[in-house]
Amino acid sequence: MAFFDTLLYPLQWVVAWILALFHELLTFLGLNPASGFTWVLSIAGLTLVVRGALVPLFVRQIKSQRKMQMIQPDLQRLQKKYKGKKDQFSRQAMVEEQQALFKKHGTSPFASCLPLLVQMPIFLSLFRVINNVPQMATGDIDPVGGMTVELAEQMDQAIVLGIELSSSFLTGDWWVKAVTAVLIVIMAGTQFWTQRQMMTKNMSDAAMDNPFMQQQKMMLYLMPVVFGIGGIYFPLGVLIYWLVSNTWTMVQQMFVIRSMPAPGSQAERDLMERRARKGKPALPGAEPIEMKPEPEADDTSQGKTSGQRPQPVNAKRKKKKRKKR
Amino acid sequence: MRPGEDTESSLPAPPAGRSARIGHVLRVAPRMPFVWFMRAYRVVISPLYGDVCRYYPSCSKYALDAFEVKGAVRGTFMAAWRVLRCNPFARGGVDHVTGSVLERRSAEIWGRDGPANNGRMYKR
Repeated sequence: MAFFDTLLYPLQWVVAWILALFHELLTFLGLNPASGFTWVLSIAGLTLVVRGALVPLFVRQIKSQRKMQMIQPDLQRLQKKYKGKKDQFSRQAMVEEQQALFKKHGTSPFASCLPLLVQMPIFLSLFRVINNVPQMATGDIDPVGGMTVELAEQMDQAIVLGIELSSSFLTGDWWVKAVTAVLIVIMAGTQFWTQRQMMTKNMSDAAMDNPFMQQQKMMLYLMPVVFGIGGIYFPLGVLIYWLVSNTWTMVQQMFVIRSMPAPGSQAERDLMERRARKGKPALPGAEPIEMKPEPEADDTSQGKTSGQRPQPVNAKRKKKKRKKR
Repeated sequence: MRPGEDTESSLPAPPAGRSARIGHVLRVAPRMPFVWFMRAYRVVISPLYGDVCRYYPSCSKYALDAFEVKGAVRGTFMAAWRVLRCNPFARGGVDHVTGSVLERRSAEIWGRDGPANNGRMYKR
């Protein structure tokens, strides 16, 4: 563990510094510096900074997804070429040709390794910083970055909902256990839900065909369990980081699935439907949705023959009528 | 885990003869902890986040190959450089470790130049 700490020291320094900075800011804005709530907000602020810094990378990836739609016909041709061939050589050949195509067009459906690999050390550093706070307070470990000994003491003793920030499921009494258990369940739940949304709505039909789908489905159920079990070791501060981070992912995911879905996925079909209903053209490369002819024409013709104007229909019923046809 | 990425080990083959074998073990020993770590990582951690890599082979497979073929020190540099290259601004494509099993297979399929459109990442 000590080896890890020294390896992660620069990152720990930055994490501690940002934490202390937020605390300063919040104190300046008038919040009580010793209260647990202030520290919770500081941790939330740290999370938002970390996730926010990754947003430009994310936006870039979304933009390249648009370009992906343009090369869909090439991709489909490629899949047809290798359809049914399951041996190692063919699989490698297909993937290589696919990747070369992506490279040629400068797009890719993959996000790239760096954002994820960057988040892991940050999470670890935060974990170590918050874990070490009690020891920093007593002077066992040298304070890191902006976390002076006084701040560490403050954070150590900060009480939120009657719980110290550094206590975890394992180290606390029944009240601590209850609160942390609820938090862990919420977090595992949001993780499961976000993953599931992605798998059911945002994966193209071609991606769903891949032979590792079974494995991915298993992971969908396994991951929350794994994190749930790990969660009992996390101090409350880390649980809060996790909660804010997962909420951010969930909101981000909902936004992306609604307005910028992956090409060929169910979410894209929903989007095309919504656009067609509003009269907007389909996005380039996506399948346009055929809209049924408007029922108003039929109503007026009926009205003319029966001598009665078409009866006004409630908006909901109108939608139902349209869908029925 | 990418399709077709699981290959047999790219470690140099142990030669015949007693003293040659000992020499081989001494040469290969330093890279083994890294190799074992990467294998464990690919089995345990990689499935947790699925396919993210812009390149083929994925960064973890590249790192595994680099440690197996090039050894501990060069492998570390190659893996680190690859991870830095694998960012949203990169174009991706096919990028093998020279001398790995995957690269040999690729050469069998496409010939020495690799698939079309891929260009040449570095001069061979």
